Amino acid sequence: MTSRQDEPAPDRPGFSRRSFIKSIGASATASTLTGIATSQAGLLGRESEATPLLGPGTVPLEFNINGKAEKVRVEPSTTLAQVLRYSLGMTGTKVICDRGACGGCSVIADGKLINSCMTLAADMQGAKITTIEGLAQGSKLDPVQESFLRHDALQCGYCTPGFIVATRVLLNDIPKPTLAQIKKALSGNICRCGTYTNIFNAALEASGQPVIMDQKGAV
Amino acid sequence: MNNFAIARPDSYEAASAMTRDRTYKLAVLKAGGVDLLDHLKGGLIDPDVLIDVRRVREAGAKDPVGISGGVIRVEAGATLAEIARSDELLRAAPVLGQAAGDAASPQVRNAATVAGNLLQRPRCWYYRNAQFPCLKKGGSTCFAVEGENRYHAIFGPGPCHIVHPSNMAPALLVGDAVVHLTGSGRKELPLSELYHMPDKGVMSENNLEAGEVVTHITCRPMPNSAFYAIKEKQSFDWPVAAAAVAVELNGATITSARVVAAAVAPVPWWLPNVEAALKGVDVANDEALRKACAIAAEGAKPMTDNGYKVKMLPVAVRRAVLRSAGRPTEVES
Amino acid sequence: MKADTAPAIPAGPFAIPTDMPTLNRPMNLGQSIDDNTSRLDGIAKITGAARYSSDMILPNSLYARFVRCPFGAANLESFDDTEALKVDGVIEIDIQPKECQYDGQPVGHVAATSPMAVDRAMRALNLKWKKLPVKTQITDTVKQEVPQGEVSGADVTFAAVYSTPVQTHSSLETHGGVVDHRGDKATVYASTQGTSSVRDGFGDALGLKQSDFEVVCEYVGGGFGSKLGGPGKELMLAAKLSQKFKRPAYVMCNRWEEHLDTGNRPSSMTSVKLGLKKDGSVVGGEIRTWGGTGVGRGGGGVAIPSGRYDFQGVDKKHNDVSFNGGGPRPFRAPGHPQAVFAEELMLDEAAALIGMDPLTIRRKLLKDDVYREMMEMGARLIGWNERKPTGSQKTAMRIGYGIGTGGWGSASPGGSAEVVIHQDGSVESRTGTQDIGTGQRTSMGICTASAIGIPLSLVTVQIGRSTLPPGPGSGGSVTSPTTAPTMMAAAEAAKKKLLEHVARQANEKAEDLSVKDGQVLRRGEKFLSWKDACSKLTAEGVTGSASTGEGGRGASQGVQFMKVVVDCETGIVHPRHVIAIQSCGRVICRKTAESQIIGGVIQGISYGMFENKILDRNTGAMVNPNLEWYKVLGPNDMPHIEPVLWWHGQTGVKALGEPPNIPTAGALACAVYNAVGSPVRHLPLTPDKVLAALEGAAS
Repeated sequence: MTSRQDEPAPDRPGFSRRSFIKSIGASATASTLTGIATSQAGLLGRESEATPLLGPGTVPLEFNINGKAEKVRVEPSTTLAQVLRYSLGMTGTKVICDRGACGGCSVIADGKLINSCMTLAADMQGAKITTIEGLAQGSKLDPVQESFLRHDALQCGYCTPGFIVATRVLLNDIPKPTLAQIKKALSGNICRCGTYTNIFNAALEASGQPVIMDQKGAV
Repeated sequence: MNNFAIARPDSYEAASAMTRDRTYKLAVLKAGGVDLLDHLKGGLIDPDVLIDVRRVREAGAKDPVGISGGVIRVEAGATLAEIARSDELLRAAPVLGQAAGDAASPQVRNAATVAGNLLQRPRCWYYRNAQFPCLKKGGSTCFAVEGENRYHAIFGPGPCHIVHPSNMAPALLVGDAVVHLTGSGRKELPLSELYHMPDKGVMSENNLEAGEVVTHITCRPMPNSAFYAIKEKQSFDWPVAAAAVAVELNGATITSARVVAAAVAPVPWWLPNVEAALKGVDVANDEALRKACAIAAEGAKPMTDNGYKVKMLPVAVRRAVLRSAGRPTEVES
Repeated sequence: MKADTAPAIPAGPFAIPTDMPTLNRPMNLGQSIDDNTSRLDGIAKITGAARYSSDMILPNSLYARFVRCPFGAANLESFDDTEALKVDGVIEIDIQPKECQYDGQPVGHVAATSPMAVDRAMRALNLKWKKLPVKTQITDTVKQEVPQGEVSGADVTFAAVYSTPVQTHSSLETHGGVVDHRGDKATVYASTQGTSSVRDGFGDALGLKQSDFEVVCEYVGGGFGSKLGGPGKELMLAAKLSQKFKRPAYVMCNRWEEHLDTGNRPSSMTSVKLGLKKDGSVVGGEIRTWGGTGVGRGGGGVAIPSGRYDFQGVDKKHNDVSFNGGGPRPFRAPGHPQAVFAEELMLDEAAALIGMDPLTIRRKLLKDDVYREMMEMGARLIGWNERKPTGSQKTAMRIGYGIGTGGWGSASPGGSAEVVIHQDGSVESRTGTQDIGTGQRTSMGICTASAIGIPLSLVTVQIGRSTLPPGPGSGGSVTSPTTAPTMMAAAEAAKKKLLEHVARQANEKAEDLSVKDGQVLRRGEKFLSWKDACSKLTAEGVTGSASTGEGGRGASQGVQFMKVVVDCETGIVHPRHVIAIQSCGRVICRKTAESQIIGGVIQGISYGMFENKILDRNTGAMVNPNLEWYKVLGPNDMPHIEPVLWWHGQTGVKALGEPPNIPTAGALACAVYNAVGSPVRHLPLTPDKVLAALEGAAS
């Protein structure tokens, strides 16, 4: 039951000239999620025949991952991170917070850095995806990987794939970032062991810039 | 997540038609999907179909953002990253790029869309926890009132005390934005009429009707505009107080101002009293500027743990004004 | 050459990272056994090939999670396992209702054929709880009171109360693992800091003799103390399920569970009364501490007074306080960061009362000269002479300087190691420890290579398996102090056997032979290449073994200087510069040693500025069980950090894991006090408290 009720304009600041009270039980929670209203449960036939449905059973999906065509069959609710880890055994991509707050699951999708845990695999149908496993070319490490190694920009290593992927995208977008740009570009990633200092140096070196030298006086 | 089907309509009209399709128990629009996946993972909603409009572009719309005929147009599906990196937009309305670029993280900005940002649900930790039957979930209690409310609202009569989480809403509001719609009779809605306070309906934050879908947003250019957010953490954090400001200047004197605060009220919080006070203020006159901004938190009714926001809000407003006039704030100087 | 024996390391094509000097921190150059080596498991970690226990997604696996109480105290009144059992893929649901005492307390479990099915069954269970009254913090039991009265014989008496919140370890890899029980044998993939103790802790849970199962832990995604001890409830559940269903069982916490039920640094409250003379000497007083241990028993101790300062006649009393929260586990220097926060800030505040500089009062009160020397150096490096008197700044952006100290010593538990020299010249170092990110694998390799006198590229390190000679748990900062000398002794023993063998065959005296730079020397002259010498061995090669018993407490000292900018209009603290001086004795691997210091500082700043496990005061539910509202310091909050390895006159391998995490929050609080002019006595140093302190300073 949707009831609508116009309200008089309020007499205080804020933008609330009118409103609706929606009380359709639990499903109302979602009614405005991403800005839409919901349909009501009903027994009528589908009224929007024009748009085909993917699922709800398992569906075939195809991606290009690290230059290789990969086909999987998963439920539409499967995330890209789950496909990588469970369907394809590519466990370099980590799921750490599972809510897009830590960057551990970062991958490159069509050139853009995304959180694969907050991306439905179905959305990536046909996309070109690069994961941590795809950065090294044959026996040659990506310069970002090599500088991470040189500067010990990793400890337990669990956040490392996400940071390397994020740094790679940063350097693709800005070949010579400033330290401030590096800090901001990596701020969607979290490292718990505390390797940021070395990560900054790695990013600077991988972009052909001098590392942080702030030694005040000798010992 | 429970399972669902995904539909990919090729137009917003088709998406709208699907939302009215009564075959479905719960059909939910999906764009970037960031907030939606958070809801699905948290068990807050249980849709049987997602209507994916991520790749829908309105007929004729080529770029995610554009300016023509003195009007800024942002497609509903423009990502925050696209908005933040548009040089054209940064000149015409810096507040938009700053608000977009300050939101969330690079990863999230690449997925999140402007429409999704406007229509995302609150981050209130009681709302997001399925175990708390709060007002927004049809319950009878706002758990923040007697609970943990350090990040909650300092304005508004309740009964729910969320802060509206959108960065883009205040930024677009200072440019008198209009939300363009399809799916119902009306074609547009001033952004200033999009939201309502909790006492006018607590289950949702906005005034969209069933079947309405946002297609794009327009606003006026505002070359002297800025966004300033105060965040506890400088990496990926939600603001605890923020302000969007657009001014018109005659030399260094403000001839008119639009000021909207964020993270302090259940809706983007318009500050007409500050706007009035700013009129005629010389931005180089620190004392006058402080005085005009000091009234930003007038009428605030802080809760037990969020009184600090009363002190912060005037600072956010003043720094946004300085920035909009091209002057450094204390942080930069 | 393989870096190690982990599965799926693309070893062949990549160069071994033994010659990769960093270009920064020249202050530390040339002081360690190895300045240039990068982590031996670095290749695996940077290519995504490293398989952590949480990556062991095995064919035909079961997945399980605990059903948990969502409130601080509640009774499970009903649930619908009929519906939950209908969820596709569900194998087992077992729930034993009980009165729960903390958010996250398990009441049963769900097992299914996929993690998605586990999730769906959890929701279908539709658990109904009856909430009970809760206590959520120390002050629900103990009143927060500033001690009254003067200390007799003192010129001034200073009194205050300090507090710190509960900090969760927030290891990025959560707790748990995988048990693959194959009937007569089993493999356990554990995310642990104690491979051997996991094996020992299973008891009969696997129904197998210890010789019939192996605990494997090649990589650990962080632990910080919380993964010490036995298998934990997660692996015990996996063992039960895998044994019962004869399938691999995967049980890893999700982020929410990780915050709630895998331990924490307990909260603390410290009340102090300190009597001082005008010259800065302390003549008496009392310190009372309380540790907020939740439902845990013990572990809430607060290490104040630290013993580093001369506090004559100061009494100390401690009590643990229970409330409805998950219990503590060891966390990177248990009891120390919270103590240093109170002790250093108390010193600064007391010094201000008598008009004394923080550095001066510390110089006066410190008992050990090494801290004094470190302070001279730190003061010079941070630019202490630019520090303005506390409260003297009136601008919006104020600069503050602070000092923190830390001391650590824990007894080495002893351990065993083996070094095998093979016929082809390759060398294996074997010890059952694990690398939790410290660089243990790398330092074992370096110890072996340097003790024998061969290039590191010849050495393969085997760690992280219970079938190896048992090593210590990765806790108490004893791993290197224990395993380095042990591994070196094993390597020496193997070398001795090799040289004896070569001597016998060549009719030489073993004592005339030595190894240097990959060459066997005879009376100092080149004799045989390493490869040729080893080729004379029989197929089984030679093995050197060593064991060390319990060792002493290798004390370690550290001093940190912090420079911050405080935005006094918003209350936001911006750390700018940290000098972290840490004694480390003989450094094995420079890069990983520096990393330990940097990491300790970063964790300390995060603790000081953000971290707080917030329990809803009415229900005891944690309101921020995620990484969104449980705030951990990120890249854009970073100061410049300079780690300084302090070797002056020190020998032996010292503790380095815990110590650098001790001084930081104290230094930070002192720096904020210096900038603001009024102390923030309660962590974390969030802007609301800084703004309140500013108001206090103004009034």
